[in-house]
Amino acid sequence: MGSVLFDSGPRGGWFMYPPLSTMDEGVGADIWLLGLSFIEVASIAAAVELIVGVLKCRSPRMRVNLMPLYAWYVLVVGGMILFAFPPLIAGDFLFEMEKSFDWPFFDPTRGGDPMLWQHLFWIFGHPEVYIIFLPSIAIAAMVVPTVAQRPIVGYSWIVLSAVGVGFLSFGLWVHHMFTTGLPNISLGFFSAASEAVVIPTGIQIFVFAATLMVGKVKKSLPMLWIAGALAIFTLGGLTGVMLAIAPFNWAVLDTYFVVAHLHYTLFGGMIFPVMAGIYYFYPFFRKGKMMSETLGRLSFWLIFVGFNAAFLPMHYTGMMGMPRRVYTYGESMDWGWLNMLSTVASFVIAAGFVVFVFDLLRPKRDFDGPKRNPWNAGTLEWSHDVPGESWGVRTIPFITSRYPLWQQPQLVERMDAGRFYLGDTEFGHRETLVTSVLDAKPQHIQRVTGPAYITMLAAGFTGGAFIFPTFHIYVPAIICGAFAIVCVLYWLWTSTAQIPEEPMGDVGLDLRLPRYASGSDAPGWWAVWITMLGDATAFASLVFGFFFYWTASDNFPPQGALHANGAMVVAFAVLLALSWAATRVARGVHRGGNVGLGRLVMAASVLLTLAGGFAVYGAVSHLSPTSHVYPALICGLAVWLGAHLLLGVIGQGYCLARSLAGRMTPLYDADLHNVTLLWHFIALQSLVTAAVIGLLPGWMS
Amino acid sequence: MKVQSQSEFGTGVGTLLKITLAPTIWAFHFVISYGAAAVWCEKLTAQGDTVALQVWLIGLTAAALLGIIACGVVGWRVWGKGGYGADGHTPGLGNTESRQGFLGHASVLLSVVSFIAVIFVILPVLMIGSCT
Ligand code: HEM
Ligand SMILES: [Cu+2]
Repeated sequence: MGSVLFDSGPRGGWFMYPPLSTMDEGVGADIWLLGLSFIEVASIAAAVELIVGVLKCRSPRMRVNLMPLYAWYVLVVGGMILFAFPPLIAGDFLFEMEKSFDWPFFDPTRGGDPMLWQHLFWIFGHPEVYIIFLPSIAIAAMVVPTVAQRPIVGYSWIVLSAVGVGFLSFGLWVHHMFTTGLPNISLGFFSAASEAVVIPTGIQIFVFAATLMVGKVKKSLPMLWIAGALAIFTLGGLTGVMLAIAPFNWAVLDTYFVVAHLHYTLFGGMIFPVMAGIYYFYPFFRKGKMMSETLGRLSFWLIFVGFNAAFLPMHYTGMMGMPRRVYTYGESMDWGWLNMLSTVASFVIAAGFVVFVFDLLRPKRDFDGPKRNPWNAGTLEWSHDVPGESWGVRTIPFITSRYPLWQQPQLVERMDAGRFYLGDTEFGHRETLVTSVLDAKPQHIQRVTGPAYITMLAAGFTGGAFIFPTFHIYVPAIICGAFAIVCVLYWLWTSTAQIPEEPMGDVGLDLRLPRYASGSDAPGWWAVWITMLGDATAFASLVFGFFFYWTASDNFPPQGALHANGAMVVAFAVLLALSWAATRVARGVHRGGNVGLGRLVMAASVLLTLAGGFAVYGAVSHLSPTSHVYPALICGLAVWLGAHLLLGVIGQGYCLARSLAGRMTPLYDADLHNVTLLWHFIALQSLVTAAVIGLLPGWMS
Repeated sequence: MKVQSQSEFGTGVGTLLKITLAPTIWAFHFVISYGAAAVWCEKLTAQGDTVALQVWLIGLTAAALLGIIACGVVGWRVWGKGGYGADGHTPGLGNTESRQGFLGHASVLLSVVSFIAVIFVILPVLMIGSCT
């Protein structure tokens, strides 16, 4: 954001279409990419955490049909992130290669195609609007039952809605590209899917309305904001339906009509629900304090009225033809007064936010009434108390209902008395329970790492590794990257997969559980799976690029072009397949108790990977990627594979070192399982890369 | 250190993912339709006529709809067994049958939405008889 102050903001709009953005000499586009890179890393990390958290760390016996609806929403969002962000990562990778090294992915004079960027960007872009929307509307799904003082009506319908939206939102991206000259039939698909997504989106709003109608509604600030959200979002959804009809879109594309639409959806779908969430959860974070009813109402009405006064007229200015992103226009255009209205109203919105921020920050007195669960909510988070204690909950309860605080009498008292699971820790470690996916059967005790500086350092160095290249400073970037790797390894080495003092532990209620898990029982293994699924999606997007250039151009691969070195391609495919096999064999041998042989095979896998890496280099080193998009894409795939081999070889070496240091034994071998899983993915990518750069060009021409 | 096979991953996530089978069919139907139309219009036809494309995609749609109906029927059976449907109440939420019933219900609902969505997607192929 700060870049705006130094006149280095992105000048190509938020979607950065090349060639405008790649030809822009300023640093703005790079800073924008930097921000995106951070979001990508953070989102994928969040997806891993949300998915593993929802699936594996629930309270015992909280079956999937009992999870809070919030958990369903974030589970779906986690899944969407895994398929939406990677295409953007692939796009960013190509974009940065073009910007920094002049590889012509989007340059039509050398065979590139700016349309590829648009596809990759919007495959991300449309699901992204729902990735913003779903967690926010999930807040509504928590607030509405509390306000109605009854369970949600139609729990499965909300699940339907979240999952349905999650899928359908991936079939909409071309509705942002209606004017790019794609065949009409193709436009039709996306128009149709855009209309279909309205069904699941609408259903959840009906579910909320039904719950409110059959419940005894207690008026409160959170509900006021939710009501405003639903009203505004419905209007935004309707203009979305209009925009998704191609001929209408041709008329209003890039006008203020779009500006109105996106603000209605974002205010209704994100700002208002999040405000509701802040009012709702405020007494959760600051026990005993409540935000002011009067100021809250004032703020709501200022923002609500201001918002509509500012953005409703934009539908009309847009229809009159006012384009987006202009700062001035002639007097004869007749839309001056409408813009003046919007301007004045925007100050009203700002005033509303000032009131809100003041209310948020002002010192407050304790309110009367129950401080622990002031709204009398039914979900488990409101059992939280005890500021100043160093635990989240005293004990982990078992859950047999959707609204345990309403439906399981004496639950909180029993929790406080320590009469559930993990009331105590035998060895003074932080611990939690890992449970099964469907029925949340307790499976093992998971040791959790504590607060540490090393993770902060890792984050700082990772930041450096991204920030320096933005300004074309490469040596410190590489140093930062190396230190980031060292920090992460140090953290892994000292805090994860530690061999427990005792193999089994007592968790209370007559249950004894293992203290260590490896393979598919371990959350770390799930995290590898999920991360690599996202990674594979990014890789698939690059391969899609190959096909895209082929369909979009008559001359790809170009006649007489240099190809990848066939012998070297075969060599790296074989070497890397062997490296994968060695890793897999090492796991079996090691598990079987033959530690010496296992180490030997692990060492062999390291050597095989290194040799494979050289072969990858040898396969493409004679190509000149700046000359044409074909060699550029081959080199791009090779760079991608090379980066993964680096990761893979670090993993293999890490396992060897863990074994030598006695931190990994045949019984306690989670590391080796995780690295083997990693290698399943790397091997797959190696073979696909070999096929794409070695075989496909022959078939295509 | 308990030595376990991949069972928990397979059965747990597998069962959960079954509710997304119908939308997955929609996704494949969508991608194949889009890819086929793109390749057909860019590479295979000179005049922009779409008859052959239409025939193939109608076949694909029929297959997709059958698959989705199958998902719906299977889901319906599971849902009924859960004892959820009969009186509209939710007896004993905290047992395995009710969990199964819930997953069945969710699959039925998702099948309905996917069915409609597949029909939506095929409509343009039927209505727009040319590439341009
Ligand atoms: C959470 C809900 C939604 C959000 C946050 C949202 C957000 C946005 C944003 C930010 C844009 C502007 C993109 C740009 O810069 O060009 C946009 C455009 C668009 N939206 Fe939405 N949207 C939502 C729902 C919908 C729905 C439900 C539909 C259709 C049924 C829809 C259809 C469109 C279309 C067709 C455009 C392109 C307009 C154009 O560029 O001509 N949106 N939306
Ligand atoms: Cu969109």
